[in-house]
Amino acid sequence: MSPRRILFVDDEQHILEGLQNLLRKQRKTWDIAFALGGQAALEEIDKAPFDVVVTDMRMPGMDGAALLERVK
Amino acid sequence: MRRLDEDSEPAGTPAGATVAVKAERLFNEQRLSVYRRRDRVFSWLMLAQWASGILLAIVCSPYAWAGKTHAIHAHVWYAVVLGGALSVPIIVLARLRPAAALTRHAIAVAQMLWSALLIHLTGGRIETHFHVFGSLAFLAFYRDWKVLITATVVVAGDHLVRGLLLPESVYGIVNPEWWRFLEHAFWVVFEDIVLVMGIVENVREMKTLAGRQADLEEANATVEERVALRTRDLAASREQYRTLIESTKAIPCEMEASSLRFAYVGPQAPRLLGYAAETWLRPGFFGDRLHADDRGKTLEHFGQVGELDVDKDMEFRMVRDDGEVAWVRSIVSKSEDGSKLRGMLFDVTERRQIEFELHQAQKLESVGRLAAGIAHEINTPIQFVNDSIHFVRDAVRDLSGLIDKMRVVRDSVLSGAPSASAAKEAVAAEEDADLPYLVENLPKALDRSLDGLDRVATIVRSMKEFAYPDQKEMASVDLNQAIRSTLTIARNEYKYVADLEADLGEIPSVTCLAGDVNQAVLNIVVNAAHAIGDVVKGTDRKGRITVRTRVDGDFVVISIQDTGTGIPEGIRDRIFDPFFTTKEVGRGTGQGLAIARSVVVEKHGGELTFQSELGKGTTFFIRLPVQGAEQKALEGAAT
Repeated sequence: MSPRRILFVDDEQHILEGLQNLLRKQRKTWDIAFALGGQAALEEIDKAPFDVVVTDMRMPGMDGAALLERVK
Repeated sequence: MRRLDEDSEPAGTPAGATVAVKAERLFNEQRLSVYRRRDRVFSWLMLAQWASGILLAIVCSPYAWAGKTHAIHAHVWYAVVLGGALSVPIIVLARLRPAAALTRHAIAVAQMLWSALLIHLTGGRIETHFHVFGSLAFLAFYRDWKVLITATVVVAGDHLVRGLLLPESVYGIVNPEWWRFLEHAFWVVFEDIVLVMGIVENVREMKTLAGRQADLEEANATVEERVALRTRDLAASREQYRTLIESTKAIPCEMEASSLRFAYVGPQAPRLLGYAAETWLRPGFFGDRLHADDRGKTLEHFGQVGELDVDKDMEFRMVRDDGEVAWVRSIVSKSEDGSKLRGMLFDVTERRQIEFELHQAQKLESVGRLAAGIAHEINTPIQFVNDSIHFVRDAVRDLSGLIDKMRVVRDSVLSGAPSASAAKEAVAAEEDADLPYLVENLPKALDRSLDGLDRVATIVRSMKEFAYPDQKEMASVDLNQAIRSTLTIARNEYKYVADLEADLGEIPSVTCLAGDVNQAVLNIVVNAAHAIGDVVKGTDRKGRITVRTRVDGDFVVISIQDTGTGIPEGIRDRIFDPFFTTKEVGRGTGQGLAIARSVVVEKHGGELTFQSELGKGTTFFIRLPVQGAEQKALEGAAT
């Protein structure tokens, strides 16, 4: 079984880096990607589909709700 | 109460009727007065006729009558007795019943009988008959034609009876012609007609006169009544104005334009400051009682009212006799000749207190509104610091485990029996710990944590600096730092819609109330964020807020520029009004710019202006005097 693909989206680089450090241990079971903001997330998704998208709600430009709407 | 403008007479009594009644009364009074006077004259005449009758009887009768002997004639006794009988009752009647019709007619009868007696005494001399005509004329003075009728009847009766019985007594001869009676009667009637015409004419004139007098009196009474009414209304009106002026809380006052010495203050003045009204009138009172911080600008303002005819209201502080501060609003203007200032002073201490409390409440409210954003701003670093520290802790634990495994390998090597299995375990542990990743990321995680903690510290410090809770008086402040703090705590308000550019130039320290200036800047920045939010909503674009500080002479100018909607032309003169807002409920209370203006203009003596272009954005300019409001005002007053 291939690892689950998970995308984390936030407008704060530090948050993404902290998450990346924290989730490093799950690198064998989860295939984790990070996107800085909604636009970057859409570009990631275009490259390859994800099983789960975890996003911050309040973001400049496209916010979390708008992003999830677009992903669906 | 009857009013001035109601000229009508009391209801039900027309003016004409009143005058007619009065005229009638005056006419009757006049007539009675005439009757009384005539009665008196006739009573004296009776006395005189009695005396002259007796004299006549003594002197003339003996010669006039046959016999011709000069002795006391029987006629003397006639004169005494008959004359008395005619005169005495009349005199008594005139005393007891003056002006009565009975008296008048009795006098007519007596007077005619006197004529008869005198004619008889002179032996019917034709000349004595003139007494009849004289008497009729005299009676006519009564101006009562009925009296003439009575007199005529009596004289006619007398002539008729005596003419028949004793002709010599009437006509002076024994056998007069039969028509002598008619001849006498004709002349009497002729005179009667003339006299009656005269009387009728005279009475008519009396009536006219009485009518005129009644008119005059009525007019006079009306005028007097009106004067009394007007005087009363005038007094009431004056009292009303005095009460009005002196019962309001506003204090009317008048002062010399040159010395600002009070010439008059309303009786309410003591309530404002506790000082008696006379104390207010002392020289220098006004300047002495002004609050030290407001003295300069207030004296300058009052000076300008006198010099430039500026009619502007102003608020300033005065010190009460108990040391408390009273806020006063003045509305004064210059008198015509420029020598006096006149106007009103209002006690606005209570309103000022409420405004102060409202201001404080708005400050708290804005902090409350910012709280959610500030919490988010603090929460973000806490989250990644937390993540990073967890990562560091796990990494240290993994490294510690790896070191333990390495030590086992080292010990086995040192003991001379190297353990391949221990080495394999150590390699597995090294792989498990992802050593290169740790080596690369541990320092970054620690740097990130330090950065996060610094961000939290900055926000907390900014919150403290924003409010300046300890600052009550003006103090020298680094405005750039204050603005940075303000922008930090407001960051969550604008960061989703706009990029912020802080272009803070070289500026001197500014004497100000930093907490209040921060509040003004915050309110304008929040407005800028809202204006940009309205433009970029639903798009991926962001606007821009640019905050600049610059020096301009003795002023520092803070400009806050946004790329928002701009302010519509129609509301530009209302945006500083309290409670004026275009925002929906919950987003704005209409206090932001009102407070910003109050802070900049009233507290600091600065200026708050703006330029706006619809669709392009708005720039607000806060101009603050570097030396603070009071210093500037003092210099202004000195020059």
